[in-house]
Amino acid sequence: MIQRSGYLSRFTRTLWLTVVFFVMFAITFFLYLRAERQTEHAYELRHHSFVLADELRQSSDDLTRMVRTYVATGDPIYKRHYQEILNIRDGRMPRPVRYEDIYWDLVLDDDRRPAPDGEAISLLERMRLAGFTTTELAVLAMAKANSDALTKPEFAAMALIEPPHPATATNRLKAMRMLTDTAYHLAKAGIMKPISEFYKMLDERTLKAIRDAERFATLLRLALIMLGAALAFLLWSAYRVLYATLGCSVDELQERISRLGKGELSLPIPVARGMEDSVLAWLSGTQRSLARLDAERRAAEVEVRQLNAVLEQRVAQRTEQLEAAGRELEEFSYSISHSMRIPLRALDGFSKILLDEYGTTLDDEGKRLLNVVRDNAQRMGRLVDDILHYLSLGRRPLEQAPIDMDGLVRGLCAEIQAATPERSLHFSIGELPPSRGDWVMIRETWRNLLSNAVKFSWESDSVLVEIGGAAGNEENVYCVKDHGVGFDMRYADKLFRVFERVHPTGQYEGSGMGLAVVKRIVTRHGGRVWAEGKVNEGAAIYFALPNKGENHG
Amino acid sequence: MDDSVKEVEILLVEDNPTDAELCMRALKRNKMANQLVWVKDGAEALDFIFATGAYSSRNVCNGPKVILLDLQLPKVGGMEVLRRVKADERTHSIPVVILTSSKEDRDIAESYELGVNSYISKPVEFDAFAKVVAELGMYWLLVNRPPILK
Repeated sequence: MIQRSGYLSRFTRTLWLTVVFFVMFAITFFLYLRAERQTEHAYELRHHSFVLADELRQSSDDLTRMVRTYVATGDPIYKRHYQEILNIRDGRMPRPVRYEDIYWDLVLDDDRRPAPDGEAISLLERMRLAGFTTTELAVLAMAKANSDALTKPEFAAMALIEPPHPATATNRLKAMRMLTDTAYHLAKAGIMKPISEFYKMLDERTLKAIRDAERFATLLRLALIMLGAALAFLLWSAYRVLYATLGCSVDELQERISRLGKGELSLPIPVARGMEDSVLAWLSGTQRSLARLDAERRAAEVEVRQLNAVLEQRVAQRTEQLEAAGRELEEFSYSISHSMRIPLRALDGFSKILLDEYGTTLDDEGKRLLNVVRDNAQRMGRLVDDILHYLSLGRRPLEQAPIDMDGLVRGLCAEIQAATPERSLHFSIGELPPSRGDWVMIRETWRNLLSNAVKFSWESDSVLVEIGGAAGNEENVYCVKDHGVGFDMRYADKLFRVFERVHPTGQYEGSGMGLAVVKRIVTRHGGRVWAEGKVNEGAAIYFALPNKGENHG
Repeated sequence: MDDSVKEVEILLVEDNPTDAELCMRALKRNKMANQLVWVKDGAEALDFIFATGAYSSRNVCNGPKVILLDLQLPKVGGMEVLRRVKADERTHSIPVVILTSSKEDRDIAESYELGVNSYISKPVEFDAFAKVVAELGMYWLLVNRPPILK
């Protein structure tokens, strides 16, 4: 786990480092662009500086031309121009736009100007604004000062041809000489020399600025190359770290995961050497676990199926054995019951013969005792017959036919009433939905229930037996209810057992088989029976037969 | 045997002596036991009916007027006796009454399939038993008219 988080942090670290280097690269690139512009700026500055210095030189030459022309022609317009040049240079008059271009050469004797006026600003001020160094400014200020100083002899020369002096040729010549002699040219050279010096300084300054800018640009270019290389390296190492973390390429990993997701668990995932702690290796481990679990699950399933089969076979075997045992038991009961009939018949028969043929030699008590023997033999005979009948219910095949319950019950009621004419029986017959089953057996069920109801009713003149039924989705329920002696609900489950009697022998005739027979018949039909009752208040016996879609609605 | 000469009216096939005695007494009461032969198993019954073995001196055509046959018999079962009697044209017109303790549906069905004339389940009560035996003796011996055998 520690190793894993280390891998992840290494990847993150590499990623962050890449971001930092990228930012540095961007800054350097920006600086490089600026350095490239710096060279251009140096050239621009040089040109601007040159123009400013040249404007000083030009103004000096223009002054010389104006003063000489004035002296030669005496035209006052040249003197005005002369004065104007001085004023513009010192910022006392507005400086025309694009004054640095050719200006005074284009102003002719009609005094029309080639450009409009601009802002009034002195030349030295403009030089200072242009960022000239102190030395440069000092040199140029000296040149200007020399130029200003030269105006003194020039004004003196102009004064020679003005009143009070007469404008004679001599004076004019004298003035012209003043403007062309060696002293004048020396003074002129005194102006031009600093300017020339400034040009040299300007070139040096420009060259230095360009060299500085180029050196800086070269440095930056170098830095850019190194940063680029570093970036490439970082990206490569980020890829390496990622590869080491994943153990394979992202595409392959995606493919593997998607296969696992689709449930292809059995395909092993190969892991390269040295990649034992990668995502792919964990995935490989997961795949192995999943494949193992899957195999175990399949094996368990097979085992469960086999066990199930064995279990089912055993259940079938046991059921068969149980059924065979049940059949055997019934067979046994049947043959016992059956075998008992012969001795019973002999018992009764020979008792009767004894009574008939030797009755005269027996006294009354002897005859009574013989009759007791006969009574019991006969009762046992009836019991045996009942048992045989009960057992035969399980041996007979079950007929399945529609049964009109209402008609069946009404017929039985009439039969029972006819058999007991001395009693007034009231059968209240409710709805009795039709059903399916063995007609003979179902009839016996109803007969047992109805005769029981009559039998256990109070021996009054009128007997009420309520009969009803209800159709259901799963089963049809039928009920016979009397208002007779009833029974204790505690013995409700005993009612349906063979020979179980809730009432003492002799009180009510019958072997105690009636409800057992009912239960056996209904159970064979797949139905169920139950009873509700209360002592002295009557009993209700219910039975339900499965409804196999016979009732519509 | 004297009986072989006389015309036998009832052949009782019954292995149980008490049942046989009860049966004979019931018949005797109604004066129908005079010409009765009692055999104790199926083999003897077949010997008697088909005049073989101990009864070879008998004439097959001079058969009993009725055979009272139990089903549970030693050696040869009652059902086999019935089958043989009804399969032979010399004897198939002899009325056979199954008189048995069995109430099995399949025994009843099989008996009728083989051509039994009556199937009677012996009641336990002697009075009822005597009544049944007397009635069937009365019917088969006195009421019923068998075909004339050649």
